[in-house]
Amino acid sequence: MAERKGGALSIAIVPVLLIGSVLTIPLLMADDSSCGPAAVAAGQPGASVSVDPASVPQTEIAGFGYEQLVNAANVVQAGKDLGLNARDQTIGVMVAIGESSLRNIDYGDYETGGVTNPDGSRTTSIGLFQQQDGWGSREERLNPYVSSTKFFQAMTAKVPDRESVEPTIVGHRTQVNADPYHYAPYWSPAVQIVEGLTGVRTGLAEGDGSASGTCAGGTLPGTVNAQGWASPGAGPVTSPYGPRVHPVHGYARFHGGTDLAGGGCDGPIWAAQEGVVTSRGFDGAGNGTITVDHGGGVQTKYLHMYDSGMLVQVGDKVTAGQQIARVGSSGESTGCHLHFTVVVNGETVDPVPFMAAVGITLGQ
Amino acid sequence: MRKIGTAALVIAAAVTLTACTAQEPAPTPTPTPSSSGPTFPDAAPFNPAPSGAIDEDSGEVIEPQPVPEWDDESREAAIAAAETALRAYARPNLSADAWREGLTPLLDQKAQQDYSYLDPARIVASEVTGTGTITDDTSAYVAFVDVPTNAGTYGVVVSRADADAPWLTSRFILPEGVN
Repeated sequence: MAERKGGALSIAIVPVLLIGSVLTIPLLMADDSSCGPAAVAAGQPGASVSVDPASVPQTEIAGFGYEQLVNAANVVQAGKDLGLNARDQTIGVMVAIGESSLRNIDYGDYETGGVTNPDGSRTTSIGLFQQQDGWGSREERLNPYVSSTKFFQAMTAKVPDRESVEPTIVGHRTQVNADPYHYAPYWSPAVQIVEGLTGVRTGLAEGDGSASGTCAGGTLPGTVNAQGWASPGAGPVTSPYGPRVHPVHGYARFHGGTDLAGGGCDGPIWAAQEGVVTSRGFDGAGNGTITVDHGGGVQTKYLHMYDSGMLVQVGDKVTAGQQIARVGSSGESTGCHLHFTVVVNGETVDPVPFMAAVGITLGQ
Repeated sequence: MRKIGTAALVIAAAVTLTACTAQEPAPTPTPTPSSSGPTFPDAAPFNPAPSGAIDEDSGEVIEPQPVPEWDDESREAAIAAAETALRAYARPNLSADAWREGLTPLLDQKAQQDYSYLDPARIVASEVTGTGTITDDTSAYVAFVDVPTNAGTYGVVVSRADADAPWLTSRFILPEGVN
């Protein structure tokens, strides 16, 4: 705690950019037992994080000041008292940022912007979560703890499958706001706030608004060689490119890529080279797939991730070695691995000699 | 106070160092790609998959896919797809079911999933008022298209699987300040 105090006190004299790092230092000594989804998967009930709103320090985290942090602490506590895990609690903070910038706004959008509901009635959205009349009395909606509780109750009722859903989509399905992706930019500050206030390493990855954002930890950059290429995943090669005969039915198939162990489930998958994400989703056989166009007629594909393990969206520009996904086992897969495909001028080619030609030995 | 301040400074410095070390593991030799960009190998054949074979993972027939490029036809098709998708989207007066029925075929798989919980009554735009403009064509597979509406300019992200595939919408980017 002494360290934390020092960190907080010294904030005024360190550059703003460092604040996040300074405040998360106490996390290094925190245990991971509260790690959200994994703890839940393991059936552990006590996966919440906690902070007393009355003990919030006079400080700033991710650009949010004392008053806003106290509101965030109320969100965290409301989630804790409902037995929700750290990921759920962080989603609450993320949504409150997206709705009110963590300010307990006591006037509606009608008063400020003349915003009306679809039926022409005045909007009455107020409080941290910009809740309208249907959510509760004015007093309830303006009480940070009560309004947070109402948000979480709606969230657990509306999104029972939320552990496999991206945080922004969880927020969207709860709030029924206009843009499913509205909350995505607020995930990173929400993680910083929750960890900074509670002093607990949640295992949630900043800057990773994917559904996982889990105990799998943060993202990890790969190594880029002088030719600008990176290995897509850790070795060894578990199944090479080439023709196959089905072990039972005898019919011929073709394995159009190189399978890599990839570090096992949740292992990092790296973009082989800089490019633009051109597809992200599931093919007809249920294989979670990301495709990256590198230009020059070269595309790479990464298969078998779960939805929660895909960290990029169509149109995203990625750099060589950027972690774009986590190893999974969706579709035609019997265990976690990365299937890596290279397409040159529309033709699927053997990734091993192709990557060797750019200085990357697959499987190492 | 002075004492505390100094102590805090020292701690802050130590902590900052630790933080930096933690964030940048080993100073691995990762040369920045030169301005000329990454190297591509010669177009020598790397044992291409045989046409007509069944792909083990997708179960689909392997065939060379036509590689797209940005020509006038492609640009027009991308803009038309974005405008069509936005027209299907900007119908706040439809029932949720009717709205989804019209929009879903124009979306990619991920967007079909993500937009299935939207209440169309929340959409502020109800009319496309002009022609779309491509604002990003870095990849010939993806276009960012700006389309004007009665509620401001929306961004529409469209992508195609190959030169012959239809443009499908991944995302509608709302005008500033709208949610």
